[in-house]
Amino acid sequence: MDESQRDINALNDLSEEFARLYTSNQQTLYRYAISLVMRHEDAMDILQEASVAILRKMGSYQRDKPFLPWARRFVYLEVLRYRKSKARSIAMFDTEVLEQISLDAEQIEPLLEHRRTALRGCMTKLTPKQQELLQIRYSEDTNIHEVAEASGRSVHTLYDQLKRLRSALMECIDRQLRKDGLA
Amino acid sequence: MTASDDQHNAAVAEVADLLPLALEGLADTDQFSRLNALLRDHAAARLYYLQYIELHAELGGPTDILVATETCDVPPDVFREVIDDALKARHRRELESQAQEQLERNLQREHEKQLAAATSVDRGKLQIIIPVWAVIGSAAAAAALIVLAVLPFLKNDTAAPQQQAVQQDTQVQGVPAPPEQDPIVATLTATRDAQWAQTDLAPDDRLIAGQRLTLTAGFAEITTSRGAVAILEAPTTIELIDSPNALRLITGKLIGICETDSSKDFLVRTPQVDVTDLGTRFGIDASNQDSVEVHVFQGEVEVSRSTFTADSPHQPQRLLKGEAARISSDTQRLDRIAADVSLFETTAAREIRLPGTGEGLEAGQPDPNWQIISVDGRPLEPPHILNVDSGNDYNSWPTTDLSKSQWLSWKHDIERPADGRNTYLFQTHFEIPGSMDIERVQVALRYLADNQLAAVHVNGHRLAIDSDIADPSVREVRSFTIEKHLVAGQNKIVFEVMNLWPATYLHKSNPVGLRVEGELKELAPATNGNWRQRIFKP
Repeated sequence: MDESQRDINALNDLSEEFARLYTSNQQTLYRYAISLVMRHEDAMDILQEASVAILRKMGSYQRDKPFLPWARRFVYLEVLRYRKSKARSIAMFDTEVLEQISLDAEQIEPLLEHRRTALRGCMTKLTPKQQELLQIRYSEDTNIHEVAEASGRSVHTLYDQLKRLRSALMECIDRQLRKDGLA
Repeated sequence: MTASDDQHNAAVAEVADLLPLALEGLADTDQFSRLNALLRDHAAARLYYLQYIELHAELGGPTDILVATETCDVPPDVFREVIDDALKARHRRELESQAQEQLERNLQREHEKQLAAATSVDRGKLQIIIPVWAVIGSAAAAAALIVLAVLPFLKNDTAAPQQQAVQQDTQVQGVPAPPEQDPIVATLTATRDAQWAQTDLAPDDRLIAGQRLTLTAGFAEITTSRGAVAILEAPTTIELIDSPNALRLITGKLIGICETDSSKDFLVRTPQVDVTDLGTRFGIDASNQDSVEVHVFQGEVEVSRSTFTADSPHQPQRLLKGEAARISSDTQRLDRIAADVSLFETTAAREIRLPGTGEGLEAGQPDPNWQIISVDGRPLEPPHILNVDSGNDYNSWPTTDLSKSQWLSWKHDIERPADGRNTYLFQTHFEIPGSMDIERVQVALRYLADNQLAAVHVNGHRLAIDSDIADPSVREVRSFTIEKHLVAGQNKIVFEVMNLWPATYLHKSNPVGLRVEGELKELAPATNGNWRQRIFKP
């Protein structure tokens, strides 16, 4: 096997490992990103840039260490870079808050996992129309202004309804966790 | 309950009010600052925040949490009217977009037929995605496919949740899902002085749907799978979208060229409008957040709105050669203006400042870039290295009119010639980068000379400058431009300086001096619209 073939094989190994590790952790990394920037589209932008950085640095990843904390660093750095580039257009938390949220998010990950499980149960208690409202708000390529405009309702009205619906889901999750002895 | 608990509870309650505002983009600066402060100061507030954000992420992220589930006992349905209206509006949007989707599917099928052989090669080269991700070399197809599996998740505004929703809706309506598309939708075909924000890209790199490119310097040419050409001028950000003949211009400038039948209907989506080429050359300037401009230089384009609402139905506008339109971001109003080709050429000019005489040196220090090689036609062996004037040689030389240079001077014993004039040849060299189009390069120089700059020799070609001895160039700054006889690489310039002996000047040492500064300029491309040739010089 010549040197170039060995290089190609090494790259193959790296990209396979990247794909395996990244795919299995991408949802966690997405949740981490959105916890820092709040908006879905911003989190997706950040994750895209971070994934490129992670792939670039796969060669320096130490296999005996967990992947997720290592990958989180790239996401965090990308958040800082993104905040700098969007300073004029998007309000984002200051560095101190980002660091605290970042630390807290790691520590309460088991609790958040329980809440995600509970949420699935709570979703079954919504009517199809309520689910549709959430789907339009979250799954369409729209924001609250567009949904309000399309429905002929004021942003304020829609905002109140979405806020109440999310609050109801938060309370439902809390109840479920208390019932399961997890809170 | 302690006072501290009360504070934490109050902080949580306040976050519960502020956070939904921030999530919907409705929080003003003060409210966001307050949220920031609460999260900084209260661990309980951060805990609530993280739990709420987790819910928000689950509802909006790449998850199936919103897939319909069984209905149980339900709270009062306060959303019915709102939802009914929203569903109707969505249905209208779907109807509007179905025709476009169908057209794109048909085009894609046609494309796949035409490129059947090439497609098989392309699929064998799926590892080309790897360079895009900044890994060079070829990777195994299996590995590449795994990487590709990650990509839909990484797409931007055609991101996974939206796609899932569309596909689910489509399936409900019994319409088959669109055919799987080749993820490679374009190729980077040329660059000039290009620098990229995200990664290093090179000509021939394949570009994939969902990829966002930010060009921070220089120019780049992207060719879609159907052959439409987009020339980007920095600073510009684009995004490839899921189409073999379209892209999204997020900000910056783009020149579109469609010279083949297959590239017709090239679509450029901007935040304000969609621009569909109908076989033409056009420019889009989306540098300004307040508006976007579309200028047509040849042929015809169709401009339509990027977003559709019940109140602003789709009303495409056609622009012909010489026409342009400015579309306001706020009002979506379209104003017709005259096409201005210079908007897309001005920054194609480049300029490199040449070091001035004695620049950065102390008085009395030698300037290694300048020598006197001849006096009165007699070569000096070795050439005389010039020093920065110390101020003592001739105190009437101007010192402030030029900013980047200093006088270089030489005072030596020399006999006064019969005509009272000595001629000195000052020599220097400079480089013209190979990346510059030598046909468009000029050298603009400003100078002071004691007494007179009679001529310059450009790579052996003499160009007369000024022979009027009654109007010496020692008192005021003169300038001239070299447009001929320049070559790529090293150029030799010789300044022919004539020094005059004043009738009353009896010393045997008559100082000569020269002070020069200037720029190397590559002019903008000609206005014939041939940007590809001019910018990238194949």
